[in-house]
Order: sequence, then C-alpha cells, then structure tokens
Amino acid sequence: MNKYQILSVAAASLIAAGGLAAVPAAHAASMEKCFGIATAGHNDCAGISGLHSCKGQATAYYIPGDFRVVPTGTCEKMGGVDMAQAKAIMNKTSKVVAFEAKVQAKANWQG
Amino acid sequence: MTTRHAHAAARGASGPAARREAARQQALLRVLFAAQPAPAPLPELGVRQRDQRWSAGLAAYRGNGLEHAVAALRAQFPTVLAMLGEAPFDALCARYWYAYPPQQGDLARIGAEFPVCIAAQDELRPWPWLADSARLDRARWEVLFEAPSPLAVQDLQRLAECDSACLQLCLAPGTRLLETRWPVFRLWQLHQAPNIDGAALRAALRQPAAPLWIWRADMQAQCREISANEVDWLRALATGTRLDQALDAAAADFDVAAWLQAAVQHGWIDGVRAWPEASATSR
Repeated sequence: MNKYQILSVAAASLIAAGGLAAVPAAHAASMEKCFGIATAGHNDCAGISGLHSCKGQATAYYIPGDFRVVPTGTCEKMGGVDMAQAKAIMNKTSKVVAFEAKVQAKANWQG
Repeated sequence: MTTRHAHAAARGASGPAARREAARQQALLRVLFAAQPAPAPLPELGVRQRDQRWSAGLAAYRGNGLEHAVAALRAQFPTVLAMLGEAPFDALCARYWYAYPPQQGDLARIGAEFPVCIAAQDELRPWPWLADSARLDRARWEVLFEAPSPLAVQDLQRLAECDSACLQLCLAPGTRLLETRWPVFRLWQLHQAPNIDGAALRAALRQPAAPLWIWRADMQAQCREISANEVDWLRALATGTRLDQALDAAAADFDVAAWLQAAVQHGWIDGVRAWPEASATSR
C-alpha cells in the first residue's frame, strides 16, 4: 500500500469512527463576551470598566470590566464571567480585588 | 493611529475635514517617531503650545505609545522576559518600538519583527537562543488569535475517495512550524517554573534541538517536538503543494495515518480542497 492509499484508508476509518466528533471545542462557531480574563493590552473593545475606549488598551490584567470574545462555553472554564456578573463585581472594590486574584491564580495554575 | 492607518485615512478621505484629520494624524506620527528629542510642532498639528509645554505634551504621547508597546511585548514574549529580566527587556522593547514603528492600529499585535530585532542586537550575541525563544513565544501567542479549524466530514470524504493529484490538504491557520538550532521548547518549559534552575538550563542547552509544531487547542497554545520526517511533510503542506507532491516529499517511513489521526483530533487541518489545476491522472 502506498502512502496515499494509507491516507485514504485512515480518512475512511476516521469517518467510520466519527473522528470529527472528538474535536468540539476547536470547532465552536458561536462566540461570546467573557469578562475578567483579558491580559493587559489584549482586551476586545471598550468593555464596561470606563477606563479606556478601545481594543488593546487594558492596562492591567484581569480587570472584570474588560472582556475578550471567546468561543461559547469556554468563558467559565477560563475563570471569566458574563456581563451581569461583571457589573455585580464592579460594584465593590473588595470584590474586584478578590476576582482579579482568583483569575490570576487560575492563570498561574493553568500556565 | 499608526503609519498605515494614517495613510489609509488619507486615501479614503472624502471631505476636507477628513483630509485635514488624516494630515494631522500623519504629522503626529512623524513627530512621535522623529529622531530628535523635541522636534518642532508641524503646522498640520494645529497646536498652539510651544517650547516646554509642547515638549511635555509630546513626551506624554511618546511615553504612552512606548508603555503600550512594552505591555504588549511583555504579554507576547514571557520567556524572553524571564530570560532577560525586566529592565533589559524594557530597554529592548524601546529599541524595537523605534526601529519597527507599528504598521497596524491594534498595538497589541506589534511584535512580529521582535525576534529579528533581538538577533540584530550585538549585546545579545552571547545568548544566541534568545531570538528562537522569541519565535516560539510569538508562535504560541499568534495561534491563540487564529480562527479554529472548520474541518468537516466532507473533507475526510475527499481524502478517502479522490485522487491525491486533485487535492490540497490545507493546514489550519492556528498552526506553526518552527525550525530552530536551539532546544527552545525545553528552555520554555524550564522558564515556566517560578524559580529557574540554572543547572537545568545549562544541561538543556547541551541537548540537541528539534523542530517544533505549535497549535491552538481550545484556548491554549500547545507545542511538541517533531521529527525531521514530519518537518518534510509539514513544510510541503505549508507551501500549498498538491497532496501527491506533499506525500512524495515525506519520508518513506513517515506514518501518515497516525499524523492524520492526530491532525483531526487537534484541529491541524483547515480543509481538504480540490486542486485548481488538477489533471486527474494516476496516483
């Protein structure tokens, strides 16, 4: 069997085994705003922090009012929150500090 | 506003106000990146301040731009930052910022030429692996922003059924091949620890280097060392060659079936497309 025949058989086997079903996250098409996970300079758009007005202008890590657009369903896993939760956190400074520390710890652990 | 944006604004301007604004932004860029410490204000800027007030204002703009550049480069090149330390890294960022002014509006995306800039620094010659470590950092950062692979069952069906001379196997945009003379993956691993082990670093530098394959898995960058056989295959695919020619480029003992399985699992393939100039001849 030559290399192409091997490749053809492998492709057919993957179809038969439902091989593409094993990669759901990378193929996620829908996206959502995820607050509190943007690192400095890597936020998407203005956010709700009121600290800046543009993409890429976050000056600190994990500000709860800054967001990044991520595949739907991955936000919580990364330690992020939705807009309503972000607004609730931003009502109190102590909550902001605790949140940023929590996301930093999660990022360190994953890193 | 960057050089390219200012020129684009000038080209796309329709009214006098827009043209004036584009000219003002171009003038601002010229003074921001001028070689002189305090160039005279250009008339297009329309500023009334002179002397110290003008210099202070210009310094604020210049400082803001550089601070954004340093923040972006620190986020992109954590290994180089760990290798150099904060002060030398920031000094290198400043050299980079003025040697390679940004070419797009998103300042978070500067840094493509940072490895080249590192390689050109005489003071950094004693650490020749720095530039390739920067390439690995950059590749790991870049793949996170690439679109996920849209591979579908139809792509695999084409592979299973069509002539290889009629197909092209396209690598996903979120993949990178990095060929290096230094064991930069091992160096990267060692720099993940809070306390870096100097003896382990010296031992790692005595080990042979291997080519690296970098890809995006979920929202994390992944990397692994690969064989020379795999490099031949990936290099052929990366040049957009026909599938039969890519297979010919791969070594006889390269396990293409195992590679396909891993590629489907990790999202390395963007699609399997019909070759536009296919001649539908024998395999």
